[in-house]
Amino acid sequence: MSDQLTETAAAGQSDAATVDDVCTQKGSRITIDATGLVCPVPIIRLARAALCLTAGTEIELLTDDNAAIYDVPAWCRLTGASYLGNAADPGGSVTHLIRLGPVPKPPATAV
Amino acid sequence: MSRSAPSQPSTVNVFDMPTVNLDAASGLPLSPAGRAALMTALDCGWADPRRLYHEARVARQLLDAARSAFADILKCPRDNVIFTQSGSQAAVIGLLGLARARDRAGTAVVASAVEHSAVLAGADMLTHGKPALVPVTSEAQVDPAQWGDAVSRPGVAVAALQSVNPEIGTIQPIDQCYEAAQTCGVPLLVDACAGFPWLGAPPRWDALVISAHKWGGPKGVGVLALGPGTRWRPPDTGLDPELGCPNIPAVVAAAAALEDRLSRRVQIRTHCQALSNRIREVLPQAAPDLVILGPSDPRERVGNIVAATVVYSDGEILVSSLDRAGFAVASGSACTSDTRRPSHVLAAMGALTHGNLRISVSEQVNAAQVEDFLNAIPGAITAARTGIG
Repeated sequence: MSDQLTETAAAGQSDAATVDDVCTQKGSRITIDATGLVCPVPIIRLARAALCLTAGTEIELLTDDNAAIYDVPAWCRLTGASYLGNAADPGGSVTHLIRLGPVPKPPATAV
Repeated sequence: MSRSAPSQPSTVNVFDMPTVNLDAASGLPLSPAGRAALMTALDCGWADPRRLYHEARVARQLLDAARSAFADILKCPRDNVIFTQSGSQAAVIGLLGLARARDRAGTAVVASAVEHSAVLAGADMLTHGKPALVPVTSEAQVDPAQWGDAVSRPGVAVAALQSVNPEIGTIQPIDQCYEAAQTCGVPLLVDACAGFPWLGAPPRWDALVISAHKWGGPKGVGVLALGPGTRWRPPDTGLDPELGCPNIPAVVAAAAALEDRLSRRVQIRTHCQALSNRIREVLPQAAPDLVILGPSDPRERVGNIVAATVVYSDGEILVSSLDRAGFAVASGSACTSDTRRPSHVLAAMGALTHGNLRISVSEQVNAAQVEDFLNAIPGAITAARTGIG
């Protein structure tokens, strides 16, 4: 399931610039700016980034989508990532902090 | 009765409409039994039931008969059946009246976090936006222990719980929750709008709310029923839902449609269960990353609703694509709502709120149409996943 999750996120369209941009960031914490994008796009960006990153990497996801406060923690539960919390930014967006996990297969009903 | 049978309606026959209604849980078109009763009652029940001439007495008899029909079905006194203009209005008026009768006990209101927005609005009104919301599991189910804890706190005036969650189809442990509330002397309002057509009324309740268009009655008829011993203070005159007089033709049609539906309840259940079983079996294979929501135990869910998340898809495109293919479905995703806010039910479950689908069936849907839907859904999912990231 989790392998499929990332495959689906990658297959939708070619937005290689974003993936490459994320994948070339150095260090154990990378940033994805999804401000101005509405659901499900921030989650797709997050999932696509997870494709090229290793377990344990921390991701800062910046978003101003009002569904993200529910969807980012839900995506973490679904994929075995850890949701570490969020902080409001002065500009009105929210930064969510995620640590990628070993990505175990979730049970069919656990979202 | 001035006429023996209704004439052929000249309006569009909704049963012939090309769209396959897989949004039956939102409401059904008026059933033939409801339509026949409505046409007759429009002609015979137009007069003011409070007057003393022949037509007024006929209207009074029709109204009394409709009230008695609901009282018999719900097993409550006839005078405890209150007609409202919607299930939502019945829920709010019910909650307010129960709270008013308990104003010496306290002002707190307990409700599950996944109640209908009308119930939550009533609870907000009573508590200035601070109701005690009991959390739910990832299957949208209330934990009776947490519920018991919430209703046992001091100062609780009233509690509200749905018998079935309308977005997911989860059956709530209503009798355990009733027991907990009753032990604390807290009256329980049961929102049975989604559950009643499928399960009937739960065994025990203090106030019960149902809505006629959920069983093929007309739109615009809700019923608030009060148990024999329930203390409920009617709202101020201006808010009395029966101020003036009820819409007699509509409540007569609501009762007739319900009696008709109850007479076919077993066959409807069997029919719908088979359709939803088929959808549950095939839908997860329609595309990768498709998650069925709600209880895995079939005893904890109704057999007419299937809820799912199509991960990484746009719910609005999903619903629109299915509409173009001839299928009506609902979605709780933010992009499909007027407010652009995701469903509070999905949020409370901790589920992904995007790409949500609710498929609900009725006896008006047949097995071939379900197969057509299952054939159409992979294309709709592809459309809802392409070019959006």
